[in-house]
Amino acid sequence: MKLATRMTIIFIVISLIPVISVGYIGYHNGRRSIQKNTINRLSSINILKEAEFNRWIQSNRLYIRALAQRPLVKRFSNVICDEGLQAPDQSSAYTKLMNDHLLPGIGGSKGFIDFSILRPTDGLIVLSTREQLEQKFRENREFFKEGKKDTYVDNVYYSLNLEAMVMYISTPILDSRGELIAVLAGHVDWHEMSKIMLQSSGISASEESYLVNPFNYFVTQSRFIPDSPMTKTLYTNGVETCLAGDNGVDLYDDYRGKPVLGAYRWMDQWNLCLLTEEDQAEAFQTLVSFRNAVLGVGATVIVMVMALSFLLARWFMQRINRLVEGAHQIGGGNLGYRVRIDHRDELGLLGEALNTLARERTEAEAIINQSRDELELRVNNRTVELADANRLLMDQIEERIQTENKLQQSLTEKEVLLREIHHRVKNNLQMVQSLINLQANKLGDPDYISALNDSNNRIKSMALIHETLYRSKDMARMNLEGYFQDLTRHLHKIYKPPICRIETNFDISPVKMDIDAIIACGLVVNELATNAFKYAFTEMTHGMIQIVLKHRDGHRMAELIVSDNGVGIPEGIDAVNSDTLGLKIVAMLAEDQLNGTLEVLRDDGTVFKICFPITA
Amino acid sequence: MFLYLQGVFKRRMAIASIPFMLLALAIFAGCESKVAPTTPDPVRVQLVWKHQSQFAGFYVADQRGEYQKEGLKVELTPRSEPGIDVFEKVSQGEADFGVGHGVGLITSRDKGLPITAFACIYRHYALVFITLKNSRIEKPEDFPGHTIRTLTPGGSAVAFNAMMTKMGLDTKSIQQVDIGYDFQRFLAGEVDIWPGYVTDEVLKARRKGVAVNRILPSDYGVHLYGDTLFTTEAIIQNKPDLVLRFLRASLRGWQWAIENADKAGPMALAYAPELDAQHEIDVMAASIPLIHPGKEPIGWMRSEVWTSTLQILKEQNIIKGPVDLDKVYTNSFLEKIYTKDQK
Repeated sequence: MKLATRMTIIFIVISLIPVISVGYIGYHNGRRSIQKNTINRLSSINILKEAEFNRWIQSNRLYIRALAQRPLVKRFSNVICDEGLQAPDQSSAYTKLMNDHLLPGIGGSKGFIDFSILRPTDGLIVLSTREQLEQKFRENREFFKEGKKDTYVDNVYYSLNLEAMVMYISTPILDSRGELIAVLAGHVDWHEMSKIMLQSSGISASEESYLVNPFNYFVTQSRFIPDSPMTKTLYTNGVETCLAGDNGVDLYDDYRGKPVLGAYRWMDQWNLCLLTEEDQAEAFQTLVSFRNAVLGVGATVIVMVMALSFLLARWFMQRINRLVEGAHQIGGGNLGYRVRIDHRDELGLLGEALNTLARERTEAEAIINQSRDELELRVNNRTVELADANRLLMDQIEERIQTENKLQQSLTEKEVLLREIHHRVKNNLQMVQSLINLQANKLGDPDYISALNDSNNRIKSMALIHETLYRSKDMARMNLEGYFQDLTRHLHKIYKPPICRIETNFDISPVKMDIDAIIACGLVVNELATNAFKYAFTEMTHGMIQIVLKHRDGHRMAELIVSDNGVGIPEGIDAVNSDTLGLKIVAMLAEDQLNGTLEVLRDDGTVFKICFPITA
Repeated sequence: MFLYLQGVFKRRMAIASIPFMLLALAIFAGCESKVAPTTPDPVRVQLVWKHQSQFAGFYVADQRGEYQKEGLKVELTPRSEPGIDVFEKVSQGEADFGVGHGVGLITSRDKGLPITAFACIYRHYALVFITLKNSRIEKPEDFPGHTIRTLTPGGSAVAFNAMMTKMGLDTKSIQQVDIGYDFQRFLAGEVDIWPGYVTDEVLKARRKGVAVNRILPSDYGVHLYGDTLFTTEAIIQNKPDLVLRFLRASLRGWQWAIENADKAGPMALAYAPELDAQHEIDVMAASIPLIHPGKEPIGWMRSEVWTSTLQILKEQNIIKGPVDLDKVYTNSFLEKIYTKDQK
């Protein structure tokens, strides 16, 4: 919400509070006082109406009593009620009673419509100013039964004969001895009562008084419903409370559904409820004018406040907008901008502060610019230096890569060369083997042939090493197990005893050794395996040769074990210092080539253990 | 401000009315437990005559759901022909409740029918002897030497004889003429005295602009009850709740009918469409003072009227044996209703 709108609303609210307060208090007090006045007036009307009702009945009561006490009325009544008398006498009394006493009491300002003389024995109307009633019986009516005893005012009821609301006042006609002669009944003009009720005080247009009987029926005419007596019932709050026997005042909806102020009064003597009501709309009419005036004043105040607050807000907003514009400009970098200052009030000070800010910022920015330029220069210089160093470094790296590539190339070439050498060595050795074989084939002595074959095998054991090496992917690592397997397979092929099945077992750890050590180990295995194949299983059907190579003492030493479960070396032969060529070679290889120790165990076959240091 | 003040007053009134509301609630709850069965109880009512607004209160209660509120499904049966005895119908159990005249009720009890009246709707017998204004026949003394339409035994004859006896008049010279029920023939002068009803022929004459004299039996000491609600002693004994509910609903119907004669009258057309709506309105309006003369609540019965009826019937030798008035009628249901439920 904009500040101007907010300010306008606040001003309106502030100005409305007193208007509403004054209006509310005024209205509240006004209404209370009007209500009090109206209720007082309605209550007064009720009291007056009741007094009028009582006065009306009392005057009629007194009149009929006085009438009944006239000596002539007594005398004539006695005559006409006497069943034994002749008609002519009665006729005279009838006429005189009628004309001199009863008819003058009817109509005009008097409250009676008709008078009747009732025979006390059977309630027969022997005389009535209303001819049609004569000779009719009223023996069961309250006014007859009660009227025989004393003056009696009957409750109002609906007469089938007269087709109207009627009320009777009756009184006994007594002779000088107090004996009952007749009952004099006067029919009071109930319309008169309706008129009394309908009479308005003239103060209010909607004021209305009426009577209601205990069965909730109207008994006097309503101003607003025609023919209401005994045909219309009403159950308003006023009537209900009144019929419960209470007097009071209240605000409620009347029988038309209109909100009224009502005063009600229970007339216990007459079993009737008297109500006087006035429309709330009329009663509070003056309040409506007051309310309208308050609303008018309120509206004017609001318009004025709106206009004033609008102008004030606009003036403030113009100045604030200048400040906002200044802040935007200065904040946006236009440091040459200056806020216009008209007044030296708080907003003016704020403008000045903005201007000062702009000035100080201009100076500060100049300093910052200078520092920035210097820094930029230094950064540039350093950048150049770094670029040079970088370039140098890059050159060196390039150089190194090239060297590395050359080295790699050279290594690859060397490896190829080495493989080639191994290959040629193997070929040469094979050539040597072939030459020896040729030589052996020429010899006839089996010992020579055997010696040559042994030599051939020793050469084969070396050739196999070279073959294994040039076939292996990694020249530095030789597959020793494969090598030993190939070697023993070759020896098995040559020396396999005809009846014995010989099994070879290997437990070869990847011990790293130089080529000389490998050749020495190969020759040792060749000698010992050849020995075993040739001599160990001569009288056996099943034999086993086991070759083990493993590390010892960490990785500094290796142990080569060649064992068999054959017949073993005969007792008396020193295996280590033997004259046999094979064992000699073994001892020589173990001690001279491998710089190790040879140990021979005779335990269920023969075990040769050579322990030697690893230099590789 | 307006609203606030009104609110204050309303609140004050609301607080003041709390005890009444609680009382009403308690009464209502008390009634409710008895009067709200899940399926409505069927109730058959035998009317004393064909459908017409004479029975408007029952129609109102039926059509405005008063019976339904009391958990009743009421079937109103008209008296299809004059030969039917409504008291027998009820005592034989062909109907639960009946509407019949006070005279018929006492004569039926004399015959031994176990029936009892529990409310009187027409507390003034609507019977009236009508003569033309210019006939000079204005009171019973003028009757001798004139003709009268045939009197109904047990009905108009009782009132007629009682009235004449009371006045010490001889009826020998009054000749009964059987000219049926065409009122037109009376207006044409074919008969001098017409026993009719204040709620029917008097209105017809008035509408035709013919001035008539009305000779009411009640003016000559003959006080009889008109339409009276009755049932069997067994139902009063065994189903007092049913009687109470039926009566309560019916009285509400009658109350509404009195206050809304112009609407209640035409309700009879729902049962007999051939009726004239305006006539039914007039009948209903004319019935109001008979139903509610203003001194007691609707339905209320006075012992003196029953005593008087009994006396008249004895005098005319219509009844033979003694009749116990305490069994003829009871105001006990009305007392319950009016002490609990004024409306």
